Amino acid sequence: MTKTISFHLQKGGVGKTTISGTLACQSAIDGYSTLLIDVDPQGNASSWFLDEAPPFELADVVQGRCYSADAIVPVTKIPNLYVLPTFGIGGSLKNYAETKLAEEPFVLQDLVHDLSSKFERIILDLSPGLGRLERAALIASDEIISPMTPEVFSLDGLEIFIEELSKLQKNLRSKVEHSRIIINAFDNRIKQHRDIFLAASKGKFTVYKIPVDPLFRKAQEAGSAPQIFRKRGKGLKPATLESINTINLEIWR
Amino acid sequence: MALKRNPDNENELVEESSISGQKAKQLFSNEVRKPKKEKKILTTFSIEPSFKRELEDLFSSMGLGWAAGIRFSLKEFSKKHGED
Repeated sequence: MTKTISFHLQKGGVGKTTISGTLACQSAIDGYSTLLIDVDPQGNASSWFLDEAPPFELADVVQGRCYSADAIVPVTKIPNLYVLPTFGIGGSLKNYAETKLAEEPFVLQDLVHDLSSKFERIILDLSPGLGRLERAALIASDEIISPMTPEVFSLDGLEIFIEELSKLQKNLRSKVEHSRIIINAFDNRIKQHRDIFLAASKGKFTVYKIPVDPLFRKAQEAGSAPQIFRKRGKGLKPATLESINTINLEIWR
Repeated sequence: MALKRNPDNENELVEESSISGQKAKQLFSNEVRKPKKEKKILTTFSIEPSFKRELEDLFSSMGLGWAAGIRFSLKEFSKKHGED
């Protein structure tokens, strides 16, 4: 059965795209047919994996301008990975979200349902914020995983998100699960990071950590999967690879 | 007189109380979650329209409706007579 995961926290810069892209790559590398849906009007996940803009984007699919199969493109460098892109420049996802989406809040849920027969795993990359578009994406998911950075504004963001999600689950009758958080850019030498990880581990969430690793940015610039990317012979740190493997093994169960 | 460095101070560790750490403890601790709002029980009782109007007039200067006025008055009544 296909599982759909969204990575979301309304705070920006916590690593939503980096984590969703990296885990989509890992899933594809492991041999699973994986679709990454770019639900961010900025289209960062699309520009990460695609060199050229294909003819259609996500907004075209949800507005009935093309079939989903026309808009989904395979990532040539990573077998089994497919992207349903969004154009950062000249795209119409933002406009659609601000206008027509209000009349059809379940449009992404319907789309994901259709695509479930074609892919084994689906990942949604969302933009920061918690507007109509993000809400539509969240209720289209089986699970939401919140990436956060170990600092106070992320904690505020998580607190707000927990509150908002409970309203969303009630109002839109969604059964989406939210039981995992990923602490990104973790540095064990910093007491604040250790304090936050320790406190989070004692709560109701399953907590993972991904160490600070500059190779992520470089892999994104090169349009590559971070797991296989090498710069002057160096790849991701062993601790980073171990974290990715652990998260990947657990989230798809 | 010149100050002499106190070697004990150099080894003293200042244990910082991280605000983020405290916030994280608060956020992830189940104990400090806000208590859920008590659910209201739906109830009805009959009242003559003339008495309802009387109550509305009585409590309007306090910014209360007739039902809120009854609730307020009963609390005040029990407070006053509970002390006696």
